[in-house]
Amino acid sequence: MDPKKIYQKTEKGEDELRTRKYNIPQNLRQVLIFVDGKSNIAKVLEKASGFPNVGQTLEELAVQGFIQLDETVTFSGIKDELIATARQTLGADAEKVIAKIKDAPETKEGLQATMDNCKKYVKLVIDEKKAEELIRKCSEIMLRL
Amino acid sequence: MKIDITFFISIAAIAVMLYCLYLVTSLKQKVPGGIVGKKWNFLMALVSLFTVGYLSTPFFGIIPEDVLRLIVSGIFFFGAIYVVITVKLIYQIIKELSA
Repeated sequence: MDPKKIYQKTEKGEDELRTRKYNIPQNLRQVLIFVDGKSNIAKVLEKASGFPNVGQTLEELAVQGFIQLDETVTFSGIKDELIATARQTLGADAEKVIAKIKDAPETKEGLQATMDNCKKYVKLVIDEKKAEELIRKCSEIMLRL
Repeated sequence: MKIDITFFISIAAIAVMLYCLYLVTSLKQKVPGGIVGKKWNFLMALVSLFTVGYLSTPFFGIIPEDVLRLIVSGIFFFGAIYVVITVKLIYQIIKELSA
């Protein structure tokens, strides 16, 4: 199980939460609640740390069709999110950072190197606090890669 | 005002300083803040001060000696501060880029 992947609820999963139609055991139901389509597996394991065998429960939920891996996580999608975050954090000063993200290579390492570079740029010529904020938000997005 | 080699050197120095003033003010738009941006405002103020000081050089012949000494020592002092800020800024940039 790749901790960076994201599970999302299927229609069946949503149905179960709304109507208890499939009457799944309580432990599966509790873990199903933690699957939000945004948090990666590592995050879900962390959130549900009070429950036993969460990893196994996730796999069981997937096998039974209540959740599925989000396969829509692409470099292009991640780049779009990074650009939106840069725009939101830096406002009018985001243009140079946006250009760097657009030009970034479509590999995890390449994108990571670009974001490190952006952090340095923002820290040097825009704002030190915004640099920290930007890199914190972008790291969360990149965890999904 | 005596027109000699000193006068022409002063005019050249003023021209260079005016160019420097143009550079720091135009670069300011590209450096709104951050480590460089904070120092840049101070560097701009110093360059403005030097420009005023340099503009007075053609009139050195008619300025009283004690005022002249004050101007020159002031320019030297702020020149030293300018150098310190520039060196520290370069140091911080290198430190940041190599982190």
